[in-house]
Amino acid sequence: MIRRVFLLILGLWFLLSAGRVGNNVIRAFYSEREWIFLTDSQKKEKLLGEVHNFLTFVQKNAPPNSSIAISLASPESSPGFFYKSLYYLYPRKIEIVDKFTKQNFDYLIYYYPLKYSEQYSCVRSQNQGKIFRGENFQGYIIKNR
Amino acid sequence: MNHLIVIFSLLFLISIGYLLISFGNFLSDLKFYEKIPYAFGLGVGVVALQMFIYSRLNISWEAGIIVSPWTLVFLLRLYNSKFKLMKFKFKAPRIAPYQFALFVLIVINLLYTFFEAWLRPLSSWDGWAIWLLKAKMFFIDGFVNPQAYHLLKENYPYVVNLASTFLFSALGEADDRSVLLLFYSFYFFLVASFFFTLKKELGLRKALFFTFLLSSTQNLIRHGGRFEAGYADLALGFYIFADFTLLVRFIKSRDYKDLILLSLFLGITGLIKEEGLVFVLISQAVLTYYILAKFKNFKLLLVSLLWVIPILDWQLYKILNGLSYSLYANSAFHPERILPIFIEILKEVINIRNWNFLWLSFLFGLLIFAKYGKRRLVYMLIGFQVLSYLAVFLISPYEPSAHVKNVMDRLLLHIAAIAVYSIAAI
Repeated sequence: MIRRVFLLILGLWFLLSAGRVGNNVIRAFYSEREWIFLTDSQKKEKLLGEVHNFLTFVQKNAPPNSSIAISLASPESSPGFFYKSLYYLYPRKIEIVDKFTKQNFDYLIYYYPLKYSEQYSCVRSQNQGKIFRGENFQGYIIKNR
Repeated sequence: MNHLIVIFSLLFLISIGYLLISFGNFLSDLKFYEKIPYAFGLGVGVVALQMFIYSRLNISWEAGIIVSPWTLVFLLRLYNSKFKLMKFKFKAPRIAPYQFALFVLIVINLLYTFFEAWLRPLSSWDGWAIWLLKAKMFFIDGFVNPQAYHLLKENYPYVVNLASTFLFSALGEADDRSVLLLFYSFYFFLVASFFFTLKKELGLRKALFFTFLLSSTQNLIRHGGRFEAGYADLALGFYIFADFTLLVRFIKSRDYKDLILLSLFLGITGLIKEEGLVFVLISQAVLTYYILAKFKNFKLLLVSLLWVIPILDWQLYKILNGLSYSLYANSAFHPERILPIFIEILKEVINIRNWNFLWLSFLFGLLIFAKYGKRRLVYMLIGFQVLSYLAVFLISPYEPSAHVKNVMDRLLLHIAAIAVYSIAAI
């Protein structure tokens, strides 16, 4: 009896696997097709959204030997954002800070996904300094020294 | 272009592994192509170890400096005239139409996963936060910088990081798209190694059928090329399966050469992830039992402990650099979690979306095993490995609903191939 049930499960496993192969092939020709002709940067934007645009912007504007503080005022200063910042911005020195102390860091970065528009405008209006802004994200970096 | 460079770099790693296998006259009864998965595993491990040693001796990771010792080994082997370059005889076997259909399905799985690995840049969380992040840091710094571990507050072992750093060095840039071919290679060579092992032990029919089932497991495909490529769990699954085949081989042959190769692989396995070290210890317990109780050969026990050298060296490095980060350092034992842990594990076991019917078949296989008592070793290895995960969940600072749910699909990936082997062997 156990053997028969076992063979039945194996049969079902095979059918399911064959179905998955078919599904994967269809996916490769249809839903995955839209990825093929994108550049790597467009693919990253598709995967990570605005974060990619913002961190690429910081990468371009902050030299590799600079130090960067991520303000806790930003709703995206979560561990996820910290690790992504590290990944994009290394060897720049990155740290999450409660309060931006002007002496310690070359740049302070704020990043706000579009859903936080209101808070973004509020914090943005309170900060002074040389500000770099991009087009396709809500975030900015303040140069300190 | 970068993908081509990565493919050539992977071929270089395979060549180094093959050279060592040939130099040590290991696996001499296997055909050329049957040795390739082992050559890949060995090549990845020894080059990572070489880079780790270079880093500590302040030797540069330039391509020429990495290649030069292997050129020496190659020349030595060439001098020893028995070495024959790429003796490769392949005769396609006559197969039935249904076997050909299974073969085609396996090839489709391999091609599809390659396509997925080629298609997108890195998107997996552990890739961002651990494996390729450190690889990128080491590549930029030019050495294994202990500050990277302090910054990330973890001390996972280095093989996957440094294998990726090696590819970044070959590319001259940290391209996180083409490097994913490394993770695809673990999928490809796991499938290849599984097929060759089953073909030898159980025949072509079973080998094709079960290799197809294994290769179409969605969780494997995701880690081999789709959104989870960049995790180290498939790499560990590859090494655990290789260890298992070498362990079975040694138990059958009692040949010290098989034991040396097994011990080398165990050393690499312990440096993939910490869960690998658990498997290494379980394997060593099995080895000790066979060597002392069955073979009664104390010298072999010393040979079996070769893996201790790279592991101790890594532990020493951690001590010297003050790396002692652990999630479980101040954890308490929570026996009341047993039921929720079982429920969460069960949810993953019956997760058909991830595993098809792999774990359900395995459980039925266990019932048949209970009746007929076959394949004790494989069930014991899987049993102890799962028990070690259970122990971790019992002392984890996180609740099972969060911890088990987040990691169980990856932990099962470590033992998936030997589980399918156990099903095939019934």
